[in-house]
Amino acid sequence: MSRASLAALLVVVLAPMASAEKPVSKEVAQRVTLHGRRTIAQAPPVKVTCDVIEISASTGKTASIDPAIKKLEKKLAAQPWSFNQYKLLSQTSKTLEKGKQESLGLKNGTGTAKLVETVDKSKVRLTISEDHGGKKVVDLTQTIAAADWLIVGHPVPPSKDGHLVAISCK
Amino acid sequence: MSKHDDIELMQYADGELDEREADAFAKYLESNADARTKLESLGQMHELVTGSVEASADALPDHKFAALWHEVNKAIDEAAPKGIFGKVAAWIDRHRGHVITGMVSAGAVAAIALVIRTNQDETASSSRSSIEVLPAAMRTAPVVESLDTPDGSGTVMNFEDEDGHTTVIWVTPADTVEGI
Repeated sequence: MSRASLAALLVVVLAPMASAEKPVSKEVAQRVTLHGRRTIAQAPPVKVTCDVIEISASTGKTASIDPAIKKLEKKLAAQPWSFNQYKLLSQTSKTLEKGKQESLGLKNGTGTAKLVETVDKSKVRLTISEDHGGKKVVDLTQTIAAADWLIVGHPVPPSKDGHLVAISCK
Repeated sequence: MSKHDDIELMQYADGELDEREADAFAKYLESNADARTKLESLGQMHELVTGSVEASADALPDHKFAALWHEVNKAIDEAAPKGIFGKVAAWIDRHRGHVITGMVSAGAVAAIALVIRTNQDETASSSRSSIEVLPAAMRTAPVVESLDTPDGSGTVMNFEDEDGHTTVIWVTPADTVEGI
């Protein structure tokens, strides 16, 4: 066996050991290469994950709710509106990065969400906008605690049905 | 030789028969002149060959014999590994099969470890949120900082239950007579 082969053997055996001892994780610092020569530490991007649930609300003789949104039943039933039937239109999980506007991917109309900032490490400041039928319905900025819910709703003319968008971030 | 053949005679001459067989063959020799003649001939031939080899060995000069041994020792020395690196290389050479198996195994394990570590890092990084969820009782009420409803009016309602707060913003178009 030649010296080169022996050196290769040592590299194969020792490389994983050296790699396993790396103390810096991606969560702590990301290394960014500058001109291929120097690296600096950069804070990880601020981002949160938000559940976006789009619901069609209507009024009927018997109350009903889509099994997929059963977790919202209590909250929806507590509202002072006449709706008692709720049907899931779409459900997505969006990762919002600070300062970047994301489409909510609504089935009816369009909507966007932007993470303005995080507050006290347990709340998010969000800007939400929604268009329906080519018209701006709402544009709002709200600070909400992680896991709390924000529900934006409006009637859908000419019917008396309602269109709801529920958002909760973690 | 009806009872004892020539092979037995040669074994007797070389002392390869056991005691009982040797006694039996000795008695046979006493009664068989031809067998005795063959045995004497074998003995003479043995002495001749042995004497010739010993004479040849004696004829080899001492310095040539010493030189021959020197060459043998030198060949043994050259074959032996020199230094720690040489000894390690020689050991690896002797255990080539195990070394290759070990290298392949170590490489595979290292590759798997790196893949797992990378995936864990990426999963942790991608799933890591910048905020933490507080218990519902410790959360503060949501705050609507701005609300713009261009073609209608907005109604803000806050509710609190054991799961936390829920803010409902209901937008009523301007041309809607009925409320919610």
